[in-house]
Amino acid sequence: MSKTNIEEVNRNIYDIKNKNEYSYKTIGLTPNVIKDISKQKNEPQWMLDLRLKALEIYENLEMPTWGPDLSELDMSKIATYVRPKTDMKKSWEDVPDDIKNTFDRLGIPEAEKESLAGVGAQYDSEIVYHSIKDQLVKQGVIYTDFDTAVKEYPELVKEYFTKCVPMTDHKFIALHYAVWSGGSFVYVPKGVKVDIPLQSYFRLNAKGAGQFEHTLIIVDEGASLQFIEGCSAPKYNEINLHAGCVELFVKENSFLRYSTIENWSKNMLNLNTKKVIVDKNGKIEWVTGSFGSKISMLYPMSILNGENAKCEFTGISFAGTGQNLDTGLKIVHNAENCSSVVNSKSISKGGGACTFRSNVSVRKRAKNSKITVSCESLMLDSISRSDTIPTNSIENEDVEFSHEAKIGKISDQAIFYLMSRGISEEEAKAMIVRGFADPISKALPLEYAVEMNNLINLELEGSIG
Amino acid sequence: MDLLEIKNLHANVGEKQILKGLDLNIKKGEVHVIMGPNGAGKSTLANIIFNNPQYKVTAGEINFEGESIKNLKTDEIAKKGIFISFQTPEEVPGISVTNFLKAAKNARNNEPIKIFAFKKELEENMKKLNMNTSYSTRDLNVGFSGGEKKKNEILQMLTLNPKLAILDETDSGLDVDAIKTVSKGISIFKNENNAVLIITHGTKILQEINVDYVHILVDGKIIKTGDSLLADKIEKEGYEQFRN
Amino acid sequence: MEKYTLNQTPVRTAKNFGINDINLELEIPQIKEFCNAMIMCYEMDKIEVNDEKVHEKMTSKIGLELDSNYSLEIKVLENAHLKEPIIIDFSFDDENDVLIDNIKIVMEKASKATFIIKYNGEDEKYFHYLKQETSAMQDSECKIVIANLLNKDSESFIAIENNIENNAKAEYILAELGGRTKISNYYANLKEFSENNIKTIYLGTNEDILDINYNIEVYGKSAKCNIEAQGAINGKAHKNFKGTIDFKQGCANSKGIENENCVILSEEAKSKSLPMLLCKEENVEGEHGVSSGKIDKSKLFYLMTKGLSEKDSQKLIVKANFSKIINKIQNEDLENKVIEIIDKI
Repeated sequence: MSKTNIEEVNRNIYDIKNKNEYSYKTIGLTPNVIKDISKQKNEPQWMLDLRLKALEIYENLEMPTWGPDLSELDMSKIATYVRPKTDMKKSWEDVPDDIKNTFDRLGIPEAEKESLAGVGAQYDSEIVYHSIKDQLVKQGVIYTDFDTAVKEYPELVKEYFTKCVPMTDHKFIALHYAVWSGGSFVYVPKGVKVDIPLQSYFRLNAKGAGQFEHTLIIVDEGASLQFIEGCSAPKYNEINLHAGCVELFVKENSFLRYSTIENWSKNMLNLNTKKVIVDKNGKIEWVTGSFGSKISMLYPMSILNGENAKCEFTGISFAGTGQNLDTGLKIVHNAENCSSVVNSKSISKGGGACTFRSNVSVRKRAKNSKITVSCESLMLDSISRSDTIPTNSIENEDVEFSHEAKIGKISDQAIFYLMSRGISEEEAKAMIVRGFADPISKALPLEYAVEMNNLINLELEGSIG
Repeated sequence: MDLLEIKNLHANVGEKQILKGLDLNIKKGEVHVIMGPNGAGKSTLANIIFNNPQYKVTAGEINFEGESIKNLKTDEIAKKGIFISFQTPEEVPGISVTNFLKAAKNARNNEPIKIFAFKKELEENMKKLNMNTSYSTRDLNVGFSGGEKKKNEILQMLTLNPKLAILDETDSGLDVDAIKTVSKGISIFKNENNAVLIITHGTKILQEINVDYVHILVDGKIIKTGDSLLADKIEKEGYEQFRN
Repeated sequence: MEKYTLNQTPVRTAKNFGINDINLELEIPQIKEFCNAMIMCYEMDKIEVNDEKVHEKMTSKIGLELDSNYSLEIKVLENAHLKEPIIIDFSFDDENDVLIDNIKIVMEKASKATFIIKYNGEDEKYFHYLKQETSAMQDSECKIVIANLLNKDSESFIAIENNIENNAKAEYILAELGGRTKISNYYANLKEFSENNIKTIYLGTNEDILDINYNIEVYGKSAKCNIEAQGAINGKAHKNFKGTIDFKQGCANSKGIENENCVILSEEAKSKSLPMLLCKEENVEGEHGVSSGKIDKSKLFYLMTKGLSEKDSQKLIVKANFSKIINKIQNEDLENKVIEIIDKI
């Protein structure tokens, strides 16, 4: 059928597989596997103890009793650790050709030259490339892979690791802490403003594997940072698993924008956990685009712990055939004068399912809170599904809270209007959908906005005809 | 040859018959006006010419430059060189006026348009219509006032430069100054190679335009055709004299 | 005391959000006769009434199974149009303090009627569990007002289950005012061109627990539904509002709107809401909005400049929020009674 052809041909940038080459690999989830991973990484004892404890917690927690069906996940078959055939390099020249070519196609080295202040690139379980501009190093900014951070900055790591996302939060975060590998560590010292973004890109090449990277970012008092996370994988017939963890600390008067374009292949279970703790006068901005994966369960959480802290969330999900994207957010207001603004959009087509699931909680002490949540869902046909499941909990009287949601299709009148100017029906629909996604593309760095528009184009091409 | 030729047109909205045998012929270089009371079928005619899926032709012919356009899709009709200025233009979030017009221009040209020249032309047209050029970067019609929306329609007309422009109640809900601007836009557009069809129930918009024909549409049919004096007569005496 | 898990939502979400169901400890009283029921109808020729006191197991979507001690079935005959409302009045007192009633309403084809069902009783603590089912046949039109005006320490469970056939209209007005525990459940199943409106006012004071769980499933084409809830909570009251509009595949051209507005009047009151929209059909319009929190400051200021105290101004605004729904009751007695209760918060 031409439909599938179009999608597959167009996805080729993401879909090119490299040979499954690795220097070390573990399969399954047992204490021995975990000892093995830790030994391979030459870790301090405290980290091994933490991993083993996490495994115990994992075994005692139940699977989620809600949301998408995860029954096809068999942890005993997942490759929990796949070390690429290279160690971390500081120059792209030193990265093996096939791996370098993969990142070239994804445009990472190009973007690094033009618009980034630092880059981390992970391939399967380990970071293969990391760089940061000298000027930032001079200002005391740390941006490195996580293994290096554990060894070189043990005090900082111990102070913050697991302090934002505890091991007991849910089953898959316990799994993450048991087998975590790779990821980036960022520290921005007091008062330092990093104007140009840093970017980490996570590529999972190995078949049947899991990726469990840990990203920890500390933006110290009065500092600011923009961080971009990208992820993709080629498509296999087996289940791949992503259970990463992102811990963010936004200190007093500081600012962090965390942008994600997630384009996992459609055999990926994406069970990621992201959380931020925001102190007084701090601000977090989340920008997320979820396009890939077979199943996603992702609810970035913002805990506004200090007075006057702010959260802004802008996100879009696009579920096509065979995809079940259960995404949303959690917000806790835990101090006075905090405010949050949420703008979420979703598009379902070709039998795909989008669920917006949220939990907004205003604690008793969070006086003078302001929250506005708005979600819009677009259904492109009648075989797809779009659900909105927002929970809101307000525990004091001094709160302005509102939540609005809309579900619907593309307006026939709007299509007619565009067609009356000579634009074809297909293009009119695509324009309206792009317009719908526009608030999110505006918030993304330019090259990502272009990537997102291309993704929307090719997703739509598959649906028209 | 007639630019537009409508013969014995019958049309429905849902089950209700609105047009009941309408005839109309428009030649290059002419300005036609259709006037009529509310509910006579004026806006239906405009929508039918553009094959709006919510309306249905039950009998009759619509030809443009000698070819039937009755069964063409809306965009194909537009590409033949017909333009409609809507009574209530749709708001389309996320698409800027500039990008929208670029897409519309590209749809009718085989070669992509030259961006710089296009922007310059757009800005000039906006100035002619007393429009703040910042509107070009705003989302299409989103949050525009009634007057701004109508000016934006005229701007599109000038930019797309059609052979036939249909203006559906473009003057309704506008103040005197805005009507003057719209009239001015029409005068700038009009030349001997194109034609204009103005659907209205007021005569203010006609004051600065040389009108060739005025048609009175009552109950789905054109029941009288005259020159611009007919419009003045209607302005004074209303439509009552033409009912049955 | 026994533990119960009641009022489950149709779609589950994370347990720690604490809204999937309500956990209660309940003392189920001994069930005896209830004699103070009164039915008033001026047009008996247009209806059929059956009120034999059958005691049978009664269960509902609340999830509570008990033996009923009162059952009533009213059938409005085909094409009959009732001009005056049918009033069903239950007065609780120390003898009649437990009521587990099952009220069935059958609106035959093209019939039209209004029902006012009232539960009164001020003196002590009562136990009340209603299951009310309506079968609205083709082209029928009904309005059903249910008012819980019981003593503030009572326990009240109201479960409504409807089937709304092609082109039928059903409008519900629910006043959840009395009782310490107020658990309510509404379910409806909409067919083609049907219309279903639910307008609810609720109040919570002291340590009241309110759990409201509505679920409308839209199956038919061109159906319309509208859920509107206006509430105010004070003291240490705890309210959950769970409203679901579920657009099933094939319900093209249907529309559903859901709005909840909760005014929080004290520091210790808690408001939770879960307004769900589920959708398997492209061609629908679904909307929901919820808002909670304090009263609009500028409105409050405006009223206070006219000399009203802060408290009175707050009450006035709550009353204004409620008034649109109260006016719909169109029964002066009941409207006054409702306003009287609101004045006491």
